[in-house]
Amino acid sequence: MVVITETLRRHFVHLGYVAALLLLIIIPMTMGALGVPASQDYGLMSLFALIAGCQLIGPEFSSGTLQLVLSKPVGRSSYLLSRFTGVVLSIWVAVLVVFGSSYAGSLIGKAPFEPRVALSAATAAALQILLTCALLTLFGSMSRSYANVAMYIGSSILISMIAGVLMMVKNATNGELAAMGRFLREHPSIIRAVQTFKDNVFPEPPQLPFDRNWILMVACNASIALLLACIIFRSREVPYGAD
Amino acid sequence: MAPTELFDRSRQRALPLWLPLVVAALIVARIVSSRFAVRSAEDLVRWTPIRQARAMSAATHKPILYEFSAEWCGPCHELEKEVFFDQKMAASINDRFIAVKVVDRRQEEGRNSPDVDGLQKQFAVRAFPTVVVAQPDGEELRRLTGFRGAPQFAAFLNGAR
Repeated sequence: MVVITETLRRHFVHLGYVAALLLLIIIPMTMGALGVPASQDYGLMSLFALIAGCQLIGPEFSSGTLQLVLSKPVGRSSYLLSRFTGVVLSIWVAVLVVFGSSYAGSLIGKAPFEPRVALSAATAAALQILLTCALLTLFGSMSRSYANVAMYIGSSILISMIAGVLMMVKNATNGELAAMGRFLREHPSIIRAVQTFKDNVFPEPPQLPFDRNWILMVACNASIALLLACIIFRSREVPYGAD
Repeated sequence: MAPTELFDRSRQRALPLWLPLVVAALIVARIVSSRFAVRSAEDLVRWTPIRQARAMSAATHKPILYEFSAEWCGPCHELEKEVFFDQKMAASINDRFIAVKVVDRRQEEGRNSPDVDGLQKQFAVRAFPTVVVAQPDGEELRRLTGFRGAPQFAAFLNGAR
């Protein structure tokens, strides 16, 4: 509990967080006043999650903080999960701010506001943030400094490139890639597997509001990432001192 | 001097028992949930009952969008899946029209209700699906017969402002 409140306090007093919140008030309010659908308000949240979540565990290896914390009778998994919870809660506050600003903007501009659509967009954003932070925690548990962000962005780009290249090769009928194209057409499960992995690790917002299957998928994947993070972190040796 | 109570370092590395249980429960829930269809597409478009459509259209200054369909009609189900099932398109319909679903029941029940019959005669509906955009006084603005894909339907909606 102490770790959660300390994490929240660190975010709420940080100038960058306050500045980002101001931005997240002005932009959705303007968009709400102009009648832009509420689902468009959460585009910045993934960037916000990356910035807030980049400090999960990885940088604490480098700074020596972790060595100090773990010299106390604090469970490793408890510490990791508490830090994760604090970061997620601080970003969820921002999601609430966006929702409220969008609604306020629609009142000011007398624009239509669909509460169900807005709420489902907020829920989807909150769950995507949960998964992003869980993955950053997982990558942070096995790396140092801010390498977790690099791993997250790198894997996102890599999987998109692989999916795109496979689709291109699948349509090849002439030239050197024709044989590979034929192979991919005869084995559609390969592309399907890559696409499924991409949809599970880096999901797009759901087509339907409150899509039960999408919600369970994201929650399940986030919990698996956290479990893996705990397993890696429990066996990792914390170095003496900072880098 | 009393002995100092030492902290058991092996407990520090222990996994919380509840976490693997939560993961297992979520995996099971996900598998079970995937076997049941997500709620039907009718939840996305706010369908108005036939008798309330004209009053609502006059009150909201939105034209009425009549969707004439039948249970046995394959293209009607494709239209539902690709348009009414689609969040963006359904939201666009909800924003701009009073949507009314007019389902032909002659094959199942032998006859239609007077409201359905009346509308089919009024707009000379001879095939399904037929989508008609009309004013509250019944003046037809635009019509689309058949379904040839969501982009074509989106263009039809955009032309029917």
